Order: sequence, then structure tokens, then C-alpha cells
Amino acid sequence: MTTELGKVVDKVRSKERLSFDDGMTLFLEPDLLAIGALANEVCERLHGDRVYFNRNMRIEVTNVCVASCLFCSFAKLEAHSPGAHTMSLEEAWRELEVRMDDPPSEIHIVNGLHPGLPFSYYEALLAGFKRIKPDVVMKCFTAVEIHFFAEHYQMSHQEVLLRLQRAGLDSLPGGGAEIFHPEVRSRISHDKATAEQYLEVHRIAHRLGMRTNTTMLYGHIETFEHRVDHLQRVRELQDETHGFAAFIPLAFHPDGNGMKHLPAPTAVDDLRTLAVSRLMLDNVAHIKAYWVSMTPKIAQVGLRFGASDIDGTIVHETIYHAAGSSSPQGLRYDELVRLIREAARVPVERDTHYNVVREWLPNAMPEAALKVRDRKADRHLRVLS
Amino acid sequence: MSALVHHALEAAGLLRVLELRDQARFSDLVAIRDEVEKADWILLGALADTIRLREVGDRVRVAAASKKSAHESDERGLAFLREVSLARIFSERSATIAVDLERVGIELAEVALSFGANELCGAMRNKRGLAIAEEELGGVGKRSKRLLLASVKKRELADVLAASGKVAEFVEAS
Repeated sequence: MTTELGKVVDKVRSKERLSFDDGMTLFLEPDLLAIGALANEVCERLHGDRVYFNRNMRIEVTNVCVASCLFCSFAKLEAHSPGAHTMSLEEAWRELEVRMDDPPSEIHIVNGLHPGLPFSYYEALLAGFKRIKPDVVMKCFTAVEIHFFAEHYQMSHQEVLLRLQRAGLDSLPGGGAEIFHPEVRSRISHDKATAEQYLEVHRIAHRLGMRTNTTMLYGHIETFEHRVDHLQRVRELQDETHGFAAFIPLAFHPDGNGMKHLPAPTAVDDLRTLAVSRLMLDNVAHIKAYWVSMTPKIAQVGLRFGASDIDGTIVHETIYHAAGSSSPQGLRYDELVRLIREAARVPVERDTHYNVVREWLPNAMPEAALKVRDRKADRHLRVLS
Repeated sequence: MSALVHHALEAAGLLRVLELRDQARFSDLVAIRDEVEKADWILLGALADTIRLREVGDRVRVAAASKKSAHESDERGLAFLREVSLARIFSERSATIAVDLERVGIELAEVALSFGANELCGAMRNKRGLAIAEEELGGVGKRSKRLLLASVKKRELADVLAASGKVAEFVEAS
């Protein structure tokens, strides 16, 4: 162990805040398992052996977008471009109506920045979902979308959030953070909310009583310095508002976007980034291993590298799949329980605000999960002399 | 091995495994297998990685065809990594521990290289969508494109291994 890593270990164990240099030490340390074990220590200190997930559902109502982010494979710049789509309100609500026999507790909506829709569309969208299922939590519109609404419909951030909150908005997803540092942000997403504007939207949302998530898109043109800077900015706002429920590192996927010449980050990078996030963000309760971005297998490993949440059932994700994700578009409830259980963790179904819905105690398993345990343990491993 | 890992292995009584392997006392090693298997998976991984580094170093043999496969394994990550670690810990000295790219995918295979594995076999699959630079393949004939694709994929894989501090050594699939 390097002297620098030794110092970081001492600081972590004495619950001392890590510095920028400590963050760099963690990213540059060659011993991956040492970093993972340290992050796991912190995670277990905070959450014991519990891992959280929820019954959620992703909907992207429009992919028409005025922004031209280099990393995006989802957006279509014009409403009449091939592949462009915008759901009618009825089409969007139908997504929930057809799932009311096993309804989600959360609807997660992220869209392109569509210049042609009236603001009332978004208010009606939220209100309609609440009419169908009054207790569903609406986690909708990234801070980038909220900022776009404010500019486009000539309102303040607060006015936008208050109107949407009245219509049924409960929380904001974390997307749109990308990399906060202007050296990177100005190159990959120059025509949407700045880092300051993104953080300001979350600051106001927290003041209005919402708990939100935040993210970091890593593995493209940024350096480790930019990642540590990003984590520090998250930590600073969290010190001020305590409003972030979870931090989600998002791996860059290169298929079909303006940075397709770049390789995707490796799985080792995914695990290291989860671990460093856990260690740097001492004031954020949960680090999420987002299985859509890192595949269910690596997300499961991530549960022992500092992650205490694995997102949810999702049902039908399209943004990462447009960028070539090989993960399934959704996971069944019992698959998530099994994934967590096999990591020797206790699966805890939560709502958006981390209230416990159901804890799957060690002797309990969904019946469907038990049926798939008959696989041969060693079929994917060859030992050659 | 970092001091953090060394202390953790020592606390778990797993340093004995290294001594037994160094002394080639494999029957004694097998005798403590039940005890070793109770250890936490990350400790087993650290132990297996230490053995891998001592006995076979950082070179990774890649015996992979360039055929694309749509097969997706349902194997979960941690259980698989545990199996890889145990295979390294209880195999004879300098054994080749191979993982199947086609079955587990490049992501998990790459992580397995930090848990004792030292060979990748099977067909290579794309990682996260386009694993290759599209422009390199533009304007070439079908046959040439296939050959170029294979070489670009090799380079991609070598880059992935280099990012984990490993050196790829391509060999013909047996």
C-alpha cells in the first residue's frame, strides 16, 4: 500500500473528509480490490448488509431536443427527423394503465428539450399519472429540462418547479450533470444548462422540499481530476441542502453519438468509480450501481464496491439502449431480489424517498427467484493445466 | 499486495494458503478448503489475485475467435468471481484459469482478471455497443471488413486489458 493510500485509509476509518488529492490517490491506486474493500467498509458502516431497489418505470415521452450533446444517441434535433417521437398524453398515460396489475411505485421521466410543446403538456402529463395512481411518485425532468422550461417559457426556476410540483412532481432525477468542470462541459454539452444552473435547480428543488438524485457521466474525454472536481461540487451542495438522496455514476456509452470514436470505460473503471464516489461523498447516503449502464453482472459486483442501491425494475429504458447498452431493458422484481441476495446482501424494496416498502429477510425469496437456482455453478469456468 | 489487503488476509488467516502453495503442500491446502471457502469473496479475490501475480504474472492469454455471439449468460457476477478465485487458489501452481468471453461478456471477464484468471477464451462480443471505430471500417469490401474487424477488436481487447494493468498475448484458439 502506498503511503498516500495509507493516509486515505486512516482518514476514512476516522471519518475524516477526503481532499481533492485523496480522491486522486484513490483513482490512481493500482490495487482495485483495496479500494473496493475500503468503500465496502464505509458502505457497511452506513447501511449494514442492506441493498435498496424499487419498482420503477422509465418513460421518455419525447426525444426531440434542441441540445446537441456529443454523448447523446437518443435525441433527435427536429420533430420531423427520422426516429423522432413525441407521445400524446394518452399514449404516455397508457404506459401506466397497462401495468396497473403490478404497478410501479415510481415513474421516472426524462425527455429531450422539445421546443414545440406547451408547458401545459407537462403539467397535464403529471396530473394524468396521478389521476390513474394517486400514490405513484413522479420523479420527472432533469435539472437541464427544468432550466430549459424556465428559459423557453420565460419563468424562473422556482416558478417552473412550483407549477410542476402543484401538478404532481415529487422529485427530480439526476441526469444532465455530465461533468461539471467547464473544460469538459463546454466541449460535450455547450448548449444546455451550465453546471451552476444545474446545481441551482437542485438547490431550489431541495428548498421546496423535494429530495433529488445527481449523477456523473464518466469515461469519455474527462480526466480523473475532472471527476474528483465533480464529486466535490456535489458534496458542497449536499453540505448546504442535504437534499440529494443518491449519487449515480453513469458510464459513457459510445454507440451512435458524437464521441463514437472513443472506447467505453472498462468494467474495472466502473467499479473504481463507484468505490471512489462512496469514499468521497461522505454526506450522500446512497451510491447507486445503475444496472442499465454497467450491466446487471457488474452492478451486482458493484454492491461490494460501495454501492447500496441498484435502481429498479425500470421496465423499458431507451436512452442507454440507443447508445448500445447490452443490458436488458428491464429486470423483473424477483431478478433484482436474486441479484442482491446472491451478493450476500439483504434486498430492501424502497420508495423514491428510501422509505422501506419490504425487506426480504434471509429466509424469504420470491418463488420465481427460487426456480432459477438450479443452474450448474461451474459451467462458465474452465480450468486448464 | 497492498498493506490493506495483507492485513485483511492475515486477519482472516488466509496467508497460510500462500505458505502452503509456496511449499507445494497441496494436500494440506485441500484439507483447509472448507475453512477457506467461508471467507468473504473479496478476500478470496485478493488472495487469488496475489497467487496469480506471483505464479503467472500480468500476461493474459487471449484465445478468442472474432465471431459475434448473441448469447447472454444469466450467470451473476459475484458467484462467478468467487468460482474464479477458488479455482486459482486450489489449482496447481501456475495453472491457467480461463474465463469464457462469450458466456460472461467482456465486462465480467475483465474483472475476473483481478480475481485470479489469466486467460480469456471464446468468441469476443462487443462491449457496450460499438466497440470498434466505425470510420476504420468504412469503404472497405466485405471480406476485408471482416479481417479488419477482427484486428480492431483485438486492439480493443488489448486496450481493455492494458487499462487493468495487464498485457494481452494473443494465441490461436485450441
